[in-house]
Amino acid sequence: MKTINLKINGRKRQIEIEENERLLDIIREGFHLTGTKEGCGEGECGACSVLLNGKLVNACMIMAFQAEDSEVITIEGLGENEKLDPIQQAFIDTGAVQCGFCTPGMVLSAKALLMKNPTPTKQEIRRGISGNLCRCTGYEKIVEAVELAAKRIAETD
Amino acid sequence: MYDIEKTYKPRSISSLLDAMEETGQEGKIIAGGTDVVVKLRDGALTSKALIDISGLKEMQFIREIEGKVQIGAGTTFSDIEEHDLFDGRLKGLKEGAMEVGSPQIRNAGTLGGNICNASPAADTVPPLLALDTTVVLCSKKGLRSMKLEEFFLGKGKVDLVPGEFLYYIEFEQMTREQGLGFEKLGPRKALAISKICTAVFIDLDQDLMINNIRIANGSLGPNSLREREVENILKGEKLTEALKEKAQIKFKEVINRRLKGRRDVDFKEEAIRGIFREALEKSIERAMEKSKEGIQ
Ligand code: FES
Ligand code: FES
Repeated sequence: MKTINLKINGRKRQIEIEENERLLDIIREGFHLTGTKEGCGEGECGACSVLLNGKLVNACMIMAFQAEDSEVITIEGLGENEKLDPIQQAFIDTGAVQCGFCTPGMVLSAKALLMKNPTPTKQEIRRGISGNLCRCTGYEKIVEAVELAAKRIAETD
Repeated sequence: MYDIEKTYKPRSISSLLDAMEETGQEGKIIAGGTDVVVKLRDGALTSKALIDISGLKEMQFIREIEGKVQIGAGTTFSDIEEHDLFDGRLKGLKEGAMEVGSPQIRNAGTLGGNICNASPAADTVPPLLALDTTVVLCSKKGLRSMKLEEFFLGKGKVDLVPGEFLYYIEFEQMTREQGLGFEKLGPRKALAISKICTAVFIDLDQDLMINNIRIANGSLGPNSLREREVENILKGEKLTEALKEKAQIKFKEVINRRLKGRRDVDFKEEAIRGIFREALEKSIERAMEKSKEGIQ
């Protein structure tokens, strides 16, 4: 047992962790932020993607103690109050969500991509989400959604 | 299931060394976790203590000092990908780094992890071998260095003694007339067998004489390897189409010998000839970028 401090979705929090726990475990079970999913548990599917100090990572590959003093953003940290993040809205409008299991991770990958590159090409989008698997959509709609989000963000800026 | 009893998050190299001393054999350094966590979960690793270096800024750097390029072991693949030092003649290293996994893995995975886990599929290792990289190791006794090639002991082992860690790597800065090429067999999804890649460093003068050449392969044997037999055919010779072909034939011969008896040998042999040629052409192209000074 050990107590760590970290900032999660903009709030400073303190939490008791087990040495064996992964960042994914404390996000889901400690903070009850269940938008972050566990798919493969071995870095292949991206369902557990979060932003750690602004970088997209798989929360199943990081031990909880490593996140001490870091800043974590999960899918629950996107958008403001009742308003969805433009990426989330674009996923809905494009029909890029089917079962939804991959969606939180996909949205965060898209977020990380658009933060670095606000006008990505289709190919860059595919590369940006290459660490996220989706069994339902065939990716086409997801790529479209990211394009739409990029366009809308550019229009509002 | 694994059972971690203690965890450390040192903020300096000296506290890292203390943590290593305290934990001894039970301690395992973890950075991006991309390898260590998987190995813990499948039981391949049974460490009782983890020492996290992902927050150790002292091990995250890319710098040029006295004609050498030095890269900290804690540097991530994304850091390499985003650094403009690797846009010109040295692009082969960036190409290797960019082939590693997904954005998530590239953001977390480090050069040091890639080397120390001695994974045969590590894509930054062949370019580093072709650059004749030196590893600099650190322990309470001070620094120790050796060639990366000698650092690999085979079967996933590296030459680290207890209490010692990989601090940084270094290689000679590129001069004009030098270039680093990299090519891998792609696309990734089609590669159930293993990832094959080749890196070529070439030093080529204006009359197309090959002053020096170093070739390294990944995933064509138990470890990444320098291909000296092929290098010897090219070194000191004038670069011609006939010579390239001769080298390709030698390459094929060497690979064939090494992979004898493996089921995927035919496939690999053909594929490897092609990627060798591509890597070679890229290195030549970069070596001939005369318009720009140095590594730019
Ligand atoms: S659950 Fe983390 S990558 Fe699949
Ligand atoms: S929508 Fe079902 S896995 Fe992507």
